Amino acid sequence: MTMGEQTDFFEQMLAKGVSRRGFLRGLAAAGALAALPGGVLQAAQAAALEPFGPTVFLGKDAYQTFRSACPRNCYDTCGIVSYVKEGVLHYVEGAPESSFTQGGLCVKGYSYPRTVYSPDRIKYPMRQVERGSGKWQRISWDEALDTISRKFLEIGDTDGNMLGLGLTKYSGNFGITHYGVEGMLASLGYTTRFVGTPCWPAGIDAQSYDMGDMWCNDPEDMASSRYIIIWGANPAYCSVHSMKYVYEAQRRGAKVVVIDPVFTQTAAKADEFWEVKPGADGALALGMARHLIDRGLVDTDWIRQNSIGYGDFEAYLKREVALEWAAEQAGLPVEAVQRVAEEFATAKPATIWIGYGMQRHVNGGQNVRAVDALVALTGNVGKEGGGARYGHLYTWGFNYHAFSQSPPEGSVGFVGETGPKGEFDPNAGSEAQTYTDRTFNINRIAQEILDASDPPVRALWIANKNVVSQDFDRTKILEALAKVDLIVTVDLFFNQTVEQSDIVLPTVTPFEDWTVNVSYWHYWLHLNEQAITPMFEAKSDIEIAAMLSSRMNALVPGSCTFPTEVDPKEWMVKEFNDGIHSLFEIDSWEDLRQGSRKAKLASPAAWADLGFKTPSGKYEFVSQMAAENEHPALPTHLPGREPYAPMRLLTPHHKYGLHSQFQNLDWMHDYNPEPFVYVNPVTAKAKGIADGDWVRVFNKVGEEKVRARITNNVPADTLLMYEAWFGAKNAYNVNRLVDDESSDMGRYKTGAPGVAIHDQFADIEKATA
Amino acid sequence: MIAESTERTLRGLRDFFLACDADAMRRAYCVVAESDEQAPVVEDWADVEYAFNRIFVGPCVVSAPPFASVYLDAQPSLMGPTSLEMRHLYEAVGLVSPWTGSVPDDHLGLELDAYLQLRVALTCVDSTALEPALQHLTAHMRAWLPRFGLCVRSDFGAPAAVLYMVDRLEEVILAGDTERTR
Repeated sequence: MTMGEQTDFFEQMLAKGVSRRGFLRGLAAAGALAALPGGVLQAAQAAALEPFGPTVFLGKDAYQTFRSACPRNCYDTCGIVSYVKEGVLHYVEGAPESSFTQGGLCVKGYSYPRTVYSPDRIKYPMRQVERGSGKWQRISWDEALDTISRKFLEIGDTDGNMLGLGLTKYSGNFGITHYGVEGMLASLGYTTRFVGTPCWPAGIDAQSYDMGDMWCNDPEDMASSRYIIIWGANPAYCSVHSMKYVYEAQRRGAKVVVIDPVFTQTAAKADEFWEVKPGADGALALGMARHLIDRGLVDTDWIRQNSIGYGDFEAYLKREVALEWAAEQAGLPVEAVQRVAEEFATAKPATIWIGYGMQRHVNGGQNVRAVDALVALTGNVGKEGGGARYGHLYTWGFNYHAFSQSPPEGSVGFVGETGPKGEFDPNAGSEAQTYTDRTFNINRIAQEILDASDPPVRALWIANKNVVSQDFDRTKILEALAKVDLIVTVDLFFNQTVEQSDIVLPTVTPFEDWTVNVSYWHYWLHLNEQAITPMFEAKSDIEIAAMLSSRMNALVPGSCTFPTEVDPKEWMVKEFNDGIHSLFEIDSWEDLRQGSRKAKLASPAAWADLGFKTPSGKYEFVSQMAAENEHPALPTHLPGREPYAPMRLLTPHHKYGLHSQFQNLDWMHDYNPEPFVYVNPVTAKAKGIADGDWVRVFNKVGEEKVRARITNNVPADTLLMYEAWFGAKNAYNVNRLVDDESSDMGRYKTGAPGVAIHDQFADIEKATA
Repeated sequence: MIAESTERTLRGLRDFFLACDADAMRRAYCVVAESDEQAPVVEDWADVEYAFNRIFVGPCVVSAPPFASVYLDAQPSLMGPTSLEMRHLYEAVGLVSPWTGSVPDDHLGLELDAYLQLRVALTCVDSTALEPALQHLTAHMRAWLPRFGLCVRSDFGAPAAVLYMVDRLEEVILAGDTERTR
């Protein structure tokens, strides 16, 4: 339509006396508005010209609802109901039918709409012209994947294998279909995998040695506990939904004791708080056990019927462990240790929540074994309201369809010993193959890359993980990353890893994706429906894998086996099987559209039938498996790490973030506007530091400059810095001060030892801003 | 009325703020700066592109998000009430964004496009039908663009070309009524 024709059209319309609305529709029908100046906006059916004004809350019925799930690395893994109108996520609330979530979310969960609609989200694929320069160019998905594909093919041509391609991925999104990232790497050939977990591996091994597996009671049964020790965990920050069961137990008369180096918010809710010396948890548990033996308070019937090796354990305690010694190691009064040990032993059911903090030490696995033993010898394992609670993978029996991809025909890989690729590896324990992936310790990523040769790590794919912020020894990480030719990061926000990447690819939030989620703590199953269109050009991990495969195969047919087209919903459905249907008493995944479902449990207690998965089928105070893996067969005292600086440095989780997620949001910054180091008043006085002063925290690893907060919540010999914070300045990083020293256990079940995150030391001095 | 130069400027501004790369920025800039001897000379469009992305696109925290809702809504978020208000306005005049649901409807480039289309449409027909929409859109843009401009100017690394385009943006939106009543 020419300009003259358009004018005629308008005049005709007006001559007919059409209404304003009709006129507008006429314009639209002719495509006139869009056609006139060559517009971006396109012609559409005109709507009524409603008064313009602010959006108001119209009541819940005005919204479409979707089932969502929080997939972050959290005990609570909440079921969410998402409220959507006009394709926009307006608000979220906890799944009301879940007795665990009970309609509520944590502060992080409620902030999800801010994540989705943050102006700071990564919007498009982008290329950094020079790594770390901040010179970013927007590129198309095609261009990004072409660049990546050509590099991958070059690696294959150069090395004759794909081992030069590394993957480091962990817990940024635990949605089951996100294991398609591992599937994508597998579909390219045998590659280098950073395996293990920085989170909980020493404890997993410890419980596996003691009981044959890691398995915990339903947290909801804590309400029926008569005595609860929360040891090295801070659920008031990190598992807020569990706290209601703790409160209910208290209401029913249970005593709650918190053992922690720091006076946490959980400690503030306890009946008794013990400020334990970090890493002395095992010594303390052994001392409590010795005391119970001396007082005749062990459950001899339980021990006789359900365990092996108790005699050796008792002999060891009588020979090597004195109550007074243990109390001194832990920095606690003997009388208090005696009293609580006796209370715990006589208040069945009694339980200990073993936090992940206590196993982030060089003796962490032994710490957990000692605490397990204390629960076992009081006969509290296998009891509702009892148990040595650590975690479980009982509900994770999905198909791992996205994960399970095959390498291209003729692929050459690593030849040699290998183990499980992390705690969630569904293929762990399967038969050895001719070739495998090359496995490196995820907790020593910097050193592994620096040491890698034949071939070196030439390209690194990073997904669901903020390596530069969260991995250990940041200085060494930067040195290592400089060795890598191409770094590709898939993420939501510009964090320190993106800052050091060559290409960043925008990924989806849970609300823009289909997947399914379960917890490693509670026993609920949540569907995650796509509720909204992905913002900008964000893609899910499996969509990215499919697009990469398409490009790889266009360049070299057969170079990637990943399907070139995927439907995220269909791939979510493929994760379900009869085992999941039966466990959760559902006929199909669609039942979950009505709400989250809880696993059908014979008992809320783990090991209720007292059939342990150990070689003996009993609880093993003496574990031959532990001995075979070069650990003491008994839960024995293992000294902590020798200090290398005057003060202990602890870097725990914050309430307003989950690792490095959430705390960059504006809502979080309102309450958590900057990172601090928390210093005891005695230390502050000695160092001449006032509240709010800029200080320098330093050790052999590096230094970090922050402002100080003076608080009695931390001991005088301890500095506390929360693990992550980032915003526009994007500079804070506690891993400038944390090295990659390994914990004692983790290799058995996760492929690599854990890391002694809390066996770190530092000094502090006043500094200028 | 809309002068040919104004139409050209609006089109150039729209394309500039929707640009994906240096070449698109350069082309859009040339449309706006044509025949303006005072317009800054750009030595290296790659540098403009890096700065443009740092200020408007990302992947870093951007200095001046080009979305009205960030400046007008109670919460500085995308897809807020203002974004939907713009979507409704476009719908009312028979338009729809090709990126509905993925790019907020109050992206500066889309608003400039709507403004341009309405201005041109009103030169073709003496209608009061489109007037409320244009008046509303004009008032809306005048409410947020000064704040947007302030954010851009607060970025000390903002290139002269970007500042020039923001100046022209403010001029053309503020001058719109004056020109139309001439």
